[in-house]
Amino acid sequence: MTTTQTQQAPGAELGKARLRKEDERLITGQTNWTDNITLPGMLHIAFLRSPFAHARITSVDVSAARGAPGSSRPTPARTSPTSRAACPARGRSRPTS
Amino acid sequence: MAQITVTVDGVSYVDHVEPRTLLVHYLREGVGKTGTPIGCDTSNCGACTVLMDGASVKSCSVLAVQADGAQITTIEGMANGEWHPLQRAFHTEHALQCGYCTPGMIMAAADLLKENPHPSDQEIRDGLEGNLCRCTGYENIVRAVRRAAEAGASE
Repeated sequence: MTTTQTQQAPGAELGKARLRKEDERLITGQTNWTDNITLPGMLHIAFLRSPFAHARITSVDVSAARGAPGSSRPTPARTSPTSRAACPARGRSRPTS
Repeated sequence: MAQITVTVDGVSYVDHVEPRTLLVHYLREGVGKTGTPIGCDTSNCGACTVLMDGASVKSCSVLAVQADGAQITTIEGMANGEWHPLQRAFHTEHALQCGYCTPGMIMAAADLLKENPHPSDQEIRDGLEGNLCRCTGYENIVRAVRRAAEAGASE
């Protein structure tokens, strides 16, 4: 096996430390982190988890949350189509076969 | 609601806040100073560090009403026409990766250098022990603070 060493041309980038280009916004507090973004009609989401580590959910009553000031759409996980797969009710996370 | 008068980065604000409002929430949502991030909400990480009358505080563990009458400096107020020596040093020494802890690191370091203009590396580490960097850039952060001290950041 033969290795070939190529002489670097003067001023080439290889082997040189480069200063980052993204630092200015990061060190002056100008970065638009996700938490900084506000959009018209934007809602915040909060997850209320069960206070019990091991229990069977027989029902979820969201009526109090539905009536709370500022509350938009309290939704039990089982009726939310998007969260159903990620939050299986009744132990469906285990393979059945 | 309580009325507070706070000077943030040289501008005076008079606002009504709920007594439970945290300083960091007031800065971000009341004043719009989103340069101060919330890292942990539990005073562990120091990302939200600001200067209150020159002393570093974790703004998630200060109530807005406690800042009544105070001068607050955030990361957004550090550059005065040109970058603060700490900001230059963080850039030069590659003392940040994602940059989320950087505002808190710089504000805590500013207080450290005011108290101790020429700290040893160990004193820098002790001074910044309340600030966490999850990119683990501590070595370069210490180098940056040392470089800023040599550049006269405390003046």
